[in-house]
Amino acid sequence: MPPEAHETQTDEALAAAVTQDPHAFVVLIRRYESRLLSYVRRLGGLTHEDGEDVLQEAFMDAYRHIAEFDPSLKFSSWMYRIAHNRTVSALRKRHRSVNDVSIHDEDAGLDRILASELQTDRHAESKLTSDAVRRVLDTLPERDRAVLLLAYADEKSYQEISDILQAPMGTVATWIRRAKHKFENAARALPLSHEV
Amino acid sequence: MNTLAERFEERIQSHELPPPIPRWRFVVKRIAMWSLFALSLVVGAASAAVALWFISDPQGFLSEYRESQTLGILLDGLPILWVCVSLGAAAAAIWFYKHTPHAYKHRMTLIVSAIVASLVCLGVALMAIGVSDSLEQAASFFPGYSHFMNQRPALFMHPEHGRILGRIEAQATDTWDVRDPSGMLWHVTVDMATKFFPQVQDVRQFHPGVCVRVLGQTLAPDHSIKAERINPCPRGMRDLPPPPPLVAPGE
Repeated sequence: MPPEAHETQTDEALAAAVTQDPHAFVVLIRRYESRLLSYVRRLGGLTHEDGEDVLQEAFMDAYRHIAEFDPSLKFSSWMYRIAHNRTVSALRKRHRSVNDVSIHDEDAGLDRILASELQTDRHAESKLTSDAVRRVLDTLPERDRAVLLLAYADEKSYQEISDILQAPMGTVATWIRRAKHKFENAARALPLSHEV
Repeated sequence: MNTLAERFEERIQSHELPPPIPRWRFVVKRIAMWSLFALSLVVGAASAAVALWFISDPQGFLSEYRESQTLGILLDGLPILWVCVSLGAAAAAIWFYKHTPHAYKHRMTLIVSAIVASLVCLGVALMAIGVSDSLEQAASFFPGYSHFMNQRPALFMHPEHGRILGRIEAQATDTWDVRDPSGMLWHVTVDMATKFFPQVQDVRQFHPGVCVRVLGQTLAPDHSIKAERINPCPRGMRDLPPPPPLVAPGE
């Protein structure tokens, strides 16, 4: 069956159909490729090519393990979890820190971090651009970066973040609170005035 | 440049794509994980039942048999092997549970406390229905167990302080013959001042073949003891080493 035939199905229905028809997975890739690539690149500070490599491996993992998908979860949470784990593992394998790469085409979500409940003072807030947000994010530890990106850039609920990062919801709430605090401190510490 | 979806589509068309891992493998893995978790709980509950049975033994902690501090008495009375098995099983249960699909929804502290509390409750329940004794006896089929547990009688043997432990071999009106774990035969003098645990009337429970703990004064050098108190042996002493050929007092 061509991928187009699956277009109207839900993610979960597509996931259930993959074992019978691999074309169903092509539709899932189309739906998630762009947003997952942004997430992977922001989380890992990866170039477009590296991000695609990581994401390709993540999609291949998901395809191979599709029978393990638990329908009580949202497919998006499961897919994000695989992509997140692949990115973290790629980062650790390469022993590298986050690169200062430009992700201009995917800046939109970062604005939401600014518009979030971050308690940065008005002066600092007004001077933060998307680029500056990215620079501040890059100074944060991997987990803080992940929760902020998921909560604000990808607008995931606490439940979804809990499913993605495989941590209790209470813990996720604590992580987000701490990450916001660290973001606030890092934003104050960075010389941002030239960003305006 | 091709998108990932297009590349994936090409691989499907060229039959390069390996098939997904079959569902049964994940089902088997999941069943194995839950089974091992259940097995850890069963082993943990059983060993906790035996450990609690030893710990709750009023004879296991009587402090008069040694002069050490409270901590030493507690450590001596603690069935280390069973406590270690319980802790090991609890650790295994926690590990297996943590690897089940939805375990991440619960905090580690909650998982640990729930599993430990379950093991203690199940252990108490098993002890209450009286299976601890049988479980401890059944454990003697495991190689090395008897050797390990046979070290315990030595903890209660302090003849230099008038404290021995052994099996009654013969009883006369005022003298009992008690053979200790090393095979030595002791003459125990029993009189009106001798107290029995828990009451004097319970003297009937002490008859040849029964394991007893004698507390009194050693009348050196003829392996005689004037008994001030006679108690049943601590739990788990049923398998005292078989008596060697008779050793007469004073030899």
